[in-house]
Amino acid sequence: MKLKMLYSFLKTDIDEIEKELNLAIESDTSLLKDASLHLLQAGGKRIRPVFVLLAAKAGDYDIHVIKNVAVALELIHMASLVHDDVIDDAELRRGRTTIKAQWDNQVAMYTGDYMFARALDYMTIIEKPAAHQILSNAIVELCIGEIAQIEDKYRFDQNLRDYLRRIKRKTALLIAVSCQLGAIAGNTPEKIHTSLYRFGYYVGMAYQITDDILDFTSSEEELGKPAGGDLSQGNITLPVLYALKDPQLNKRIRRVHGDMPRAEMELLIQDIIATDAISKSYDMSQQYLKKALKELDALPQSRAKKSLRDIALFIGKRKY
Amino acid sequence: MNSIDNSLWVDDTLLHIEKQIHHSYLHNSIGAPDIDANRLSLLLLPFQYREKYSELDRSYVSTAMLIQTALDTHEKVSKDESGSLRLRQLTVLAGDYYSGLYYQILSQIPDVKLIRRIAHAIQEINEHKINIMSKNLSLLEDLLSSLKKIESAIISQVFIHKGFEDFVPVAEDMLVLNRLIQEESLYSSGEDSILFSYLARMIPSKTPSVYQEKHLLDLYRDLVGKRQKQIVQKLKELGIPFESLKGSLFAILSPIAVDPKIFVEEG
Repeated sequence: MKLKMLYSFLKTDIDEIEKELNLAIESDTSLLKDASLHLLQAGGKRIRPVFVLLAAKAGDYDIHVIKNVAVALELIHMASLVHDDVIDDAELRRGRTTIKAQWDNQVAMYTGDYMFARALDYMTIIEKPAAHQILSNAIVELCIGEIAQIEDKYRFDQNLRDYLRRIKRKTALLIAVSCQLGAIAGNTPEKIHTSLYRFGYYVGMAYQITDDILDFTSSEEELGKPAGGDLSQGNITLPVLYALKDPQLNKRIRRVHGDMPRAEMELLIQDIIATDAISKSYDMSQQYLKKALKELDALPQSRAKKSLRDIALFIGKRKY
Repeated sequence: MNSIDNSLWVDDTLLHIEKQIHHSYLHNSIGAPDIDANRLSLLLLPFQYREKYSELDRSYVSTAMLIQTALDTHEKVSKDESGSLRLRQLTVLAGDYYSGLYYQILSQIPDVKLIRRIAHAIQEINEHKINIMSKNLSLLEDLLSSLKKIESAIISQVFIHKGFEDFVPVAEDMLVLNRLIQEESLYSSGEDSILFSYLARMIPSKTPSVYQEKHLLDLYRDLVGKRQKQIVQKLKELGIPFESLKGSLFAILSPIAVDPKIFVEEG
């Protein structure tokens, strides 16, 4: 089953958000518009807007209000992707050339800054200070997380707490605040929007752990890049942390560096897969999913609640 | 709200910004950002004039400086792939981090209206940067108008928000003048200057090459001189005596401001 099928009842509203995203990047400056459109047309799951809409269904759902939060969050996500491609020196994203590859780093920097400002413009239509405090804290944390990821590269003495804090900032926070802000824009009581925050947080953690597992277990064709790419770039993910507990593997992992021959790296990846590192990581992702599902108990029965549950389960089972 | 001692405004605000912006790993790796003291002096001008500067005002001023620092930091991201990858990565993230801080500070105040105003300014600035970069502007006047927006859009929004609309024209002209001087410095050191590339187009093609350089600098001095006179005139209209201006930024006005024919004639 495709992810989109799990929230098909929102199709009209998701189309409305897509239209609004196209309007959001309108600019008299043709190059800026072309660059933004280039990324927008590459598509994407639009998972953050979906979480915003589903969470808002727990309160007073008015698409004309809620869409501003949904558009803001997607634009923030897009702005971060444009800058991430400069950071990673990436040539391709979602099968298309990146903005920095199509034009250059400078255009990518200006486009990312422009999108970020457009996002805040949309967000300010929501005049609730709490919504801005939550979002701005998340944005700052997200940046700190990205900086920490660079600081922690090839640092093999890090522990589980370092990893969890990093993926919280990198992935889980923006999903958590998507859920919470949707609920706040829908005027839900605090008990509901904090439950939805926790739901998003747990789902985000499970999502990132699954991503980190798939980096080892998926084929190059499925990933669109060589398997084990995270480790060769020095990113210490959960499977690696478990594998480091094996004394033999520990020595070999600590020798990983950016120019390690591919054959040696492939052998190491196979040996990590052969340990219980993958199954242990999978168990942890399932624990987060269980916690996520439990948070939904606070919500009244509805189609939206069922969709949130189904999306969480989908994330737990996804293969790539 | 407590008031801050007038003589300490610049230092106090600088210290406040440095505290907010501090990130040990980032700054150990790429260095702490330069906070533009000239811009800060200009931001403080209306507060000095009104002799009132609260902690809340300091937050507004800091916010404007933070977002400017964010945009300036992103200007340092190398256009090509030369230089260290890690330096480029951290420079991108530093700019993102500083712009996140601007949003965080204003949401804590909370001042949603100023968040919106500054967001508009950031959009406008990036549109003008792209226009300049993609050579969409054919006339020198268009270039100067874009440079004015790039340099002053944020400061102008803060002034308007605080009810200091009268100071916007002076701020715009001062920041453009400052930029013109920076462009001259780039040109003199042999680097690319967008301003001088436009000025070069204005030199008649038949001008002998030995006179081209002089012609170019004459055009530049003419531009700068006109701006200086305009600023001095505007300061006079605001009733601000030149001697009361604090900060090195205003030193660029002294050749004009101390000219008895221009400034002291009404004394």
